Amino acid sequence: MLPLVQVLFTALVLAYAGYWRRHHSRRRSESWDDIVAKLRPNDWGYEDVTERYLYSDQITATPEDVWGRISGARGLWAMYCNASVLVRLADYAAEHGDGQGVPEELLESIRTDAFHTRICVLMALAQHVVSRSSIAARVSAHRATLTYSTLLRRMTLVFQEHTAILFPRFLDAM
Amino acid sequence: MDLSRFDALLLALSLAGQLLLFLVTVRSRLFRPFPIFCLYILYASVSDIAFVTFLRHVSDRTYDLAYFTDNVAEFLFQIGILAEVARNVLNPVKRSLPRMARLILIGLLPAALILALVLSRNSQPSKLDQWSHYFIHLSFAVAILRLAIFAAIAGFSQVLGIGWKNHVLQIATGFLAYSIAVLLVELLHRFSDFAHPPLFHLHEQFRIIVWCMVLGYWSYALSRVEATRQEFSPKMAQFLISMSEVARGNRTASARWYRK
Repeated sequence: MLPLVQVLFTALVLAYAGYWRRHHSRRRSESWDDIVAKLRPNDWGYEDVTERYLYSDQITATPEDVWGRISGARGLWAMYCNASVLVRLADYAAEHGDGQGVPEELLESIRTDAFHTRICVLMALAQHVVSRSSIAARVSAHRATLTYSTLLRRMTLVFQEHTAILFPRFLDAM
Repeated sequence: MDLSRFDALLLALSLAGQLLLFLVTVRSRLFRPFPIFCLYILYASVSDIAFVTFLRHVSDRTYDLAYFTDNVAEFLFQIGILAEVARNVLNPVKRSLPRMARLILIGLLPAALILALVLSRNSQPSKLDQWSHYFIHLSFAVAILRLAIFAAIAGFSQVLGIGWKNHVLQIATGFLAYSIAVLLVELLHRFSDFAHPPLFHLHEQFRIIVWCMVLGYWSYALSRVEATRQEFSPKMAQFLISMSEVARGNRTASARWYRK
């Protein structure tokens, strides 16, 4: 039995190594359009829960109603995927910015927001799987939406204030 | 210990590759971000020279002791390189990492160790002495541990969407390729039950060939300057600036209208 597990482990590692290397080689050579193509569309109700799309970090949803208003797991998953894509867009903006470039603190805040969004989404999904009526899942979903909205506002700030050259493309993408 | 002509060639290639790579790391000033990696390459070169020159003429017992000690030192260096890769991956975002994410990563390391210890338990040939048993167990456990730790780092960074810098990615890629080759060789040793010395020798030659290829890849990749993304053409930049000015104008107008 153990030799079979050893072979399976080796095969799994080989497959993952191939996937990991391919993923990173593609990521290094991504253009703006490649990154934007990975953004999930806002068809899960985000525009209804934000006070002012892209310009405000406040949301109108409460922990009680947020689950339904963001289409539940679908909205959470879209936030999870978009968080990483937005960080890549911010990094791209920092590399191609006009003038003095994007302040490192702002980029760091964006990364923090993206990590928090992802962590909150994972927690909300895990809590939802354990118990469908869980209050904890709704609280985590609310926190994820709030962090995501802060992330979007910071992204707008990056493009509006520091990389105006890319601002129209950002608005177009969002 | 006598070497065949092919073994001598492989050893010479490996030593030349290590020395070349060491020169590349010095030239590219990689000592600062990757001190353990650079020390490991230096150590591997010195130990190879020692084994080829004076350790060939010592008694079998002394040679075995030196070989065992050298391998343990190499294992420690290799685990150190993985720690260095993890540090370089997390360094740009360490202040942004939530506490829970750090705890998860720390929790993955003992899990990798347990996985390595469980998977490396296997029946071993009885004709070997106790020290050989320990050595075989240790080699296999470390081969699994390297890959398990690597998978933990790669998976963790992927879940949180952390990007890898070019040089970190290149060092990790070479290390991953070599670790996979070592694990394959360890598995082949086990399935052949260590009973056929020529087969055992062939497997080891395969491992050294992969090591030489990895050294070649590292020397080439690390000697190059980190590539940046392609910039816009001046014409495209001008077009985007004009678009941006129009967008700003529209935004100011709509803000004025909103205030009214």
